[in-house]
Amino acid sequence: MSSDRGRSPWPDPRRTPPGPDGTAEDIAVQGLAEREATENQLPPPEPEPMVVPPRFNLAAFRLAALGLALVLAVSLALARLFVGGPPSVADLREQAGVDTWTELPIGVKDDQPGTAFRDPKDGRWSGFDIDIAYMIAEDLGFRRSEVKFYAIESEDRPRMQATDLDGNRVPVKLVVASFSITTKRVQDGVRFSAPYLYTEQSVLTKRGKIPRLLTITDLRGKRVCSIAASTSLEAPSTVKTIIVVPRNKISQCIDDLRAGRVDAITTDATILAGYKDRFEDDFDHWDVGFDPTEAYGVNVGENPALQKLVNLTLYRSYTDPKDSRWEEAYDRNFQSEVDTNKGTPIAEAEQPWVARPDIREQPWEDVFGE
Amino acid sequence: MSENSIYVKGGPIPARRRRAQLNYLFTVLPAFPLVLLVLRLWYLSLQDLPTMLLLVQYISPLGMVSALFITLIWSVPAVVLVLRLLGSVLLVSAPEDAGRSLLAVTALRMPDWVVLLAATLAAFTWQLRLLPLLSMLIVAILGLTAVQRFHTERWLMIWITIGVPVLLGALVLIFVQPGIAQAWQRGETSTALLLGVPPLLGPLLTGPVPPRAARLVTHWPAVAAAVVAPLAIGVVFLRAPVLPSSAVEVVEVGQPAHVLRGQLIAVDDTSTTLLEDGGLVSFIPNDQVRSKTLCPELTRPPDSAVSVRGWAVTDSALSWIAPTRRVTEVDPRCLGRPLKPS
Repeated sequence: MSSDRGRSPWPDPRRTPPGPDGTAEDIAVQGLAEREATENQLPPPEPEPMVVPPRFNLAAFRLAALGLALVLAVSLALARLFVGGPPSVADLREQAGVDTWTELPIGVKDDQPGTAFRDPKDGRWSGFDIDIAYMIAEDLGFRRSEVKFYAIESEDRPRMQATDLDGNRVPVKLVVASFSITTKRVQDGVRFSAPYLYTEQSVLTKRGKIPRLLTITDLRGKRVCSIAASTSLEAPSTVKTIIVVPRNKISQCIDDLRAGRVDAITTDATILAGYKDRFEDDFDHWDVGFDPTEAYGVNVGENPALQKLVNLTLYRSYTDPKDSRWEEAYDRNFQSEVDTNKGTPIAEAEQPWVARPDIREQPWEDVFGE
Repeated sequence: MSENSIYVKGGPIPARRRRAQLNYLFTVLPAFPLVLLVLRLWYLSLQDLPTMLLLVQYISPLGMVSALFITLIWSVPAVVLVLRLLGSVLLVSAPEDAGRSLLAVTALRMPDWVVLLAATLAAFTWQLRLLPLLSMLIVAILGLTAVQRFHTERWLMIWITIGVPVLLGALVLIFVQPGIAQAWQRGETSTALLLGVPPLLGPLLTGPVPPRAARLVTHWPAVAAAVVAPLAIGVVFLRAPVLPSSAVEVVEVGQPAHVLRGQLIAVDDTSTTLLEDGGLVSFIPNDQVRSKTLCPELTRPPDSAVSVRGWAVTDSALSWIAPTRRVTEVDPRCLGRPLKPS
């Protein structure tokens, strides 16, 4: 061919294909070199020989390996995220069945001002247990109007059977009812959450009836009321001459004390402090040096997934500095009673330590609020 | 071979003139960010020239450049990857024609490490809803590179051009599938399509298109994108904040305290200069300033409420790696009320 054709500004678009040998890149590079030569009015470059590329091309294998690495990396990441390991919050919610509940029935005490109290006048619930129950319900995704409280008696707490206002038995999903965690109860099959409050046992007497009460032995020969099926019965039972009068509810003990049928009441300080606070002139509240710490826990029934979710709420409340719901509940219900209960401890003013529940946290999530 | 050697292509535009035009483009290109910055100030001053000059006097260029960088970092990989994809498609479809298109030449000469870097940057800075698109771009570029460079074992080519895109697409679909379902239920069709369609397209983009259509489907979309991109980038940047949004509590003698809200321009030894929300510049004597506070930026609500396995689709990987401060309480001063009503 003549060299005139090489400088022609209108090339022949129907150029013979370069044959099966050159790769697209070879052809493009050759085309570019030719163009540049034309632009600079140079003779066209010698074409690089488009030899048959070797069938075994290491670079191609490298590219294939890069693809393989990409696939493996993504699949390993997916496997790491979604297969094996502890359950995620969504898994736990599904296992616990929370998503299918339209409302959350919770068993609480109804006669313990400061801890859990139902005002008979307007039906309003208040107290520390109520606030803790609301906190757990909120994290489980229930609105306040969807939380239903039912009064529960002490001996019904392990069975999770509460009663509604008409006296019907109502099964509840959670029991938040000043329920102390003990080894015996755990052995009997009660599934507790982590503790949410530490308190101790104390004694309440009628104002001025007993001038000095330092230890439990000062109650020798007296009639002491306490709640049946509670841990408070043990301490007075150790002193032989004390006549222990068990009652079903603390309000019955209070009635007995007011009527003079018993001389003293012993139970958890949180409960007695509430009565002392509401009726300051009626009672004396004594710290009698009982050793054991009462650790309140939430009974979640036969639902290990729900137990983890409740523990997660308590853990978040413990670790997350921005989550002050526990502290606010304490201040509202117990700190406000300190003045009227001079010197008698009510409860520990710090949330009990909670172990980090074994829940999966994806890198983009903030499950634990840390 | 000799027939090929003397064959030369040219274009309708003489080469020298074409090259001169390209040189001008490269000269003007660096001015684009500068134009953006000036435009941003003009926008901020609500088109008032004295206000704009005041802003020029006080605003630090470094601050503006940081704002530009943070707001537009995601666009760099987008440009690189799209150029490479479209250029490579053109290159493998009509290799003899490559010299005529700047797009194909750019793709041909783009180093591989640039693509790798761009892909990594995109993986961190793109929102989750764009990540399926990113995986599609990556597998397509991988396949096209192989088609462009190698004539090798058939099984190897099939693995690179079909195996990798299909597998990766399937994995991406497995990951985003709850998000697609959620978006569909909420009626966010665009989010659902953005999550679900790219993984399916990946295997289709790893080979040549008919040579006749190649230029139409690659060159012209790229030109259209090049025209639209500066506008889009400009609009995004014009919305980005460059001055801290603040509230200043002012007490004048004999008057109750009141709060001025706006953007704090400067504080000097006599006064505090504040650009109020309406565009008015106030010079507040320093002895009248009782307190100042930083206000949370008015963020637009996210376009989409969908999340994939707890990861919101409008979040990028970088945003969940980096710690954030959640704004929980709004300072009353940011709402225009004095801290302590007098």
